[in-house]
Amino acid sequence: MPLTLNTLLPPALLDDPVQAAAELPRALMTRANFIPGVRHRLGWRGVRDCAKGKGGLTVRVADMRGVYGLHLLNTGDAGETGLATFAISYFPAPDEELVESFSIQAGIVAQTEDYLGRVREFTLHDDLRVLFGIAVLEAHFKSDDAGVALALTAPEQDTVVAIDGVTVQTPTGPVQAVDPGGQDQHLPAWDIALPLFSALAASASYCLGVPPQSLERKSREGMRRVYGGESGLRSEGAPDVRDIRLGLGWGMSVPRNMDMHTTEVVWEAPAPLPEEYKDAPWRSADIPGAANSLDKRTMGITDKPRLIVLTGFLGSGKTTFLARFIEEQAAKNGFVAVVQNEIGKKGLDGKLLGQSYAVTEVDEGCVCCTLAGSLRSALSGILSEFQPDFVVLETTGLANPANLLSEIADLDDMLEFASVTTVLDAACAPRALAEHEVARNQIQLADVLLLNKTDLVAEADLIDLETRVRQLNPTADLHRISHGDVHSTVLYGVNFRKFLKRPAPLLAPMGQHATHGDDGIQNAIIEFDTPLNRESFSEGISAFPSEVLRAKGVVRFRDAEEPEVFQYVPGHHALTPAEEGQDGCFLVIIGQDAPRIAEDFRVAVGA
Amino acid sequence: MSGNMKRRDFLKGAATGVGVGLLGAMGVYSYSPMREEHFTQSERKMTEIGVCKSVKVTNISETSWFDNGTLMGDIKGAGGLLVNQYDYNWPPFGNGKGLGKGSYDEGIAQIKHLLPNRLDEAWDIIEANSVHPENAGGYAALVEVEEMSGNKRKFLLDVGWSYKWCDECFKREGIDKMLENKEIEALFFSHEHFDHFWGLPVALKYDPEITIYIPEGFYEEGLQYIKDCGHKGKLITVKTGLNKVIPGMASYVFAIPIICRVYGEQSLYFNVADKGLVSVTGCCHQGIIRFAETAYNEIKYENDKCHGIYGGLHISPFDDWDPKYDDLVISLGDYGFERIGCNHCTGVLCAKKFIAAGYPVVEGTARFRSKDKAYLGNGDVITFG
Repeated sequence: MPLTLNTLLPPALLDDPVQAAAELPRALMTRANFIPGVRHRLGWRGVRDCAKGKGGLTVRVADMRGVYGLHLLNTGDAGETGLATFAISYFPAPDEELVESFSIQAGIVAQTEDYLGRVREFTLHDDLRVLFGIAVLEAHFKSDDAGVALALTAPEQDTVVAIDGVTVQTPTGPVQAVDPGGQDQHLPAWDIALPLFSALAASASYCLGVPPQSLERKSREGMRRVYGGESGLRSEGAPDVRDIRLGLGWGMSVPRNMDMHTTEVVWEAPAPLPEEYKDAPWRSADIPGAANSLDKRTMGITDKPRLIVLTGFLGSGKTTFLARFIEEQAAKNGFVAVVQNEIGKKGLDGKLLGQSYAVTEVDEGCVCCTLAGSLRSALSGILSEFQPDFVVLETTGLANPANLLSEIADLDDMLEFASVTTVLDAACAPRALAEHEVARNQIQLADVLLLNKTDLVAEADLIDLETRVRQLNPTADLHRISHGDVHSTVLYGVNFRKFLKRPAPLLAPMGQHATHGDDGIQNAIIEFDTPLNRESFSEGISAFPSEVLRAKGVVRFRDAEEPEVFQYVPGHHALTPAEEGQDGCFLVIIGQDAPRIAEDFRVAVGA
Repeated sequence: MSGNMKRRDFLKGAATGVGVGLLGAMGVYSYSPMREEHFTQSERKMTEIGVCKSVKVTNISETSWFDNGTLMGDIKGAGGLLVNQYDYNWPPFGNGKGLGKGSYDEGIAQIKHLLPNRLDEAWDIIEANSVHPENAGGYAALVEVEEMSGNKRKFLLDVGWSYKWCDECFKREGIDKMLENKEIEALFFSHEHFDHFWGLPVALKYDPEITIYIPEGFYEEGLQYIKDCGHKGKLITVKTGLNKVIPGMASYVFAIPIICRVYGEQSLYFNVADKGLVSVTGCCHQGIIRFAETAYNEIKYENDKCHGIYGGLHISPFDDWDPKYDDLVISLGDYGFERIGCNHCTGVLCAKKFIAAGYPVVEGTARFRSKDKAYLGNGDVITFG
């Protein structure tokens, strides 16, 4: 099968096999990292060029807490094949278990303040390259009859023995870190290097469009280093460990390395792949879903994704609705990030890796994450990694609505707030509303209310429920649906531009008949007969006390022809041009003591 | 020593007598079939590129397209950022078959006979056959270099995308007359992207013999297009690395894969007397960090100072593994530019953050369809030196 080499490297480079080999790993990583969804699945967790040094880069890979370094050692050719050799380093996270396996000297360096800063430019620092080197990567490029091969060489264990032991001077006194004759370093280098090699090989399969056609694993007797006594540093044979070289070839056989004597596995297509490699990440060239997730930054597009807060009790049909929404967006080539507010098991795992979110699933149309840290830091990471068009924040509880809303208001530099959508199970809702404050809160703060499972409830009961819901929330859009089935344009309008409904006549205007908030959250509505003075309006809004959880309305100002839609959450408010045909001039205030606040506001704006 | 004591607990702030040299002497290299490290860290090269008096950049157009949503929808509909740009069915290579089903050969066949002199007719055909032709704009800039003698020399960086839009912009800035009078010495292409390169016939209509500099890395379709557009002048392919042009001016080609199956970006460096380094970029896909560090390592510029920058700015081709560094605002601040004109793929939000951070951004006038004053927009000018 011919390789799609020209998408990886241009014609000019393809004619120069040595240059092509030298550029190969970077080209693979660059291309594999263009697409957020793909890069995540290939295992990449961020790359950074060593800008100051020559040809080095640092990268993080899935499931490894530290940072890998890759830098070019040398290049050469063997006839029509170019070869470039790279050193692989691994810089452990200062607090990870692997620090125990590196040499004492390396451990000391890993605990220094400027460690990670220096790691970012490790090619400038000899001590880093020397102390943390673990493996070697070969990149081979064949011009005629194009082929690419990658090979990883590393010891199973990289052991350094200190004949005299190692005593360390710590701020609290000397510590015998290594006993005489003990192991200064005992590093499972092969196991550490393999994840990077696997991600690179998977990227090669992906970029080239075909899986490798040849595999070869060979080994030789390992070495270990010993120092101290009278002899300085020397190497000696270590018969109980081996050095391993694993090579993969795309469009060519794996080139030989004469030092490796013992063949362990050899494979050429079309023979079946050896059992141990059946699940290798490079086995398939097929990573679906490259079309929809787009790294918009590469095009300089900084449009903010829209945020929908989706809430509803368990069993309300929230999940079904969400699945439909994602499907709908995927059909329009949109990409949705779903964030679950509750810290589930996966979220805790994320915390262990030091991240504020954990990805549970990625596919064509969406990525699902659970929180493991603060909402802001999780969203910042998710937005950066996946560049979604929508973020749906899924939450079952709205126990403290004021908190969540102001947290969300705080995110307005990253996200464009679109809606709080609440899904209700029409059959169970009446009881939930009667018994749970949380259920009432969810309704009061929604812009869009979905009465789901209406097929299971009698008409009379539905009307009763709607009346009750309207008492709690006079302005939200209320839709009756079943099986979570409703088109998002119906809910959110085309391009998320929607009317704001006038309050239903259930509620008398002028804030006189506030609903009796059983738990303090009330609604109050002010109707305006004449256009308002913009300044007085702004001042009135700034004077809103913290009890105001939401406010929204349609306002006409003296200085403008057209009405404007007003939205308020604590700490943030916005006026946007209203849709054509928008009528009315009113303001709804939601929160404790709403009637009094509304009255004060009405007086302040002189309405 | 107790076996239970973790090294992480006591190594902070510790020191040992064992030197790095000792451990490193026989390290990872013993596993390489080619043992020596040939590439040691180089000293700064400090290549002389001469000096000039000033550089003036006129933004002919920075609006590569007019609606983000339309562009993103097109890219996604065609299969994403990994698809070959010539296959999108974007103007001018439309074959009427719809999004993602285009090809260079079928596209050019429709219009080749009309290039470069009958562009209006060509555009009529293109409009009928390609996807969203009205969304195409382009990126192009006029660069005027003042030599120490006071003599001024003109160059073009990129030409743009839509024949219609580019001709309009060229006429607006008088580029058409300059080309006809052969006042413009050469046309540099930053990279093969549709919005920088496909408007080539517009320039060739007025001066088919103009010298063209392209970065190494153009694909067959691109090389063929230059011929098919009726280019009669010299075509120079600049190899990766430094390329001196005139005293005080050099171009630099960065080897880098770019989205939509493009490779390599050529950026311009100027050494302005008393001021320092001035950079003019198309998209800076290589990233501002690599860009600035390369200048530092390779060329000699006045006072070792990064003075000015113009163009589309990106931090790097990658998502950093430490998200706090994925911030163009911080990265740009590291270099201390004294005069910044940004637009195009920088991102308006980013440009506004630069301004909010107090960076010396020269704002524009948001005319001729440029959207925001934070950008040095269409028709705006910036001078260095």
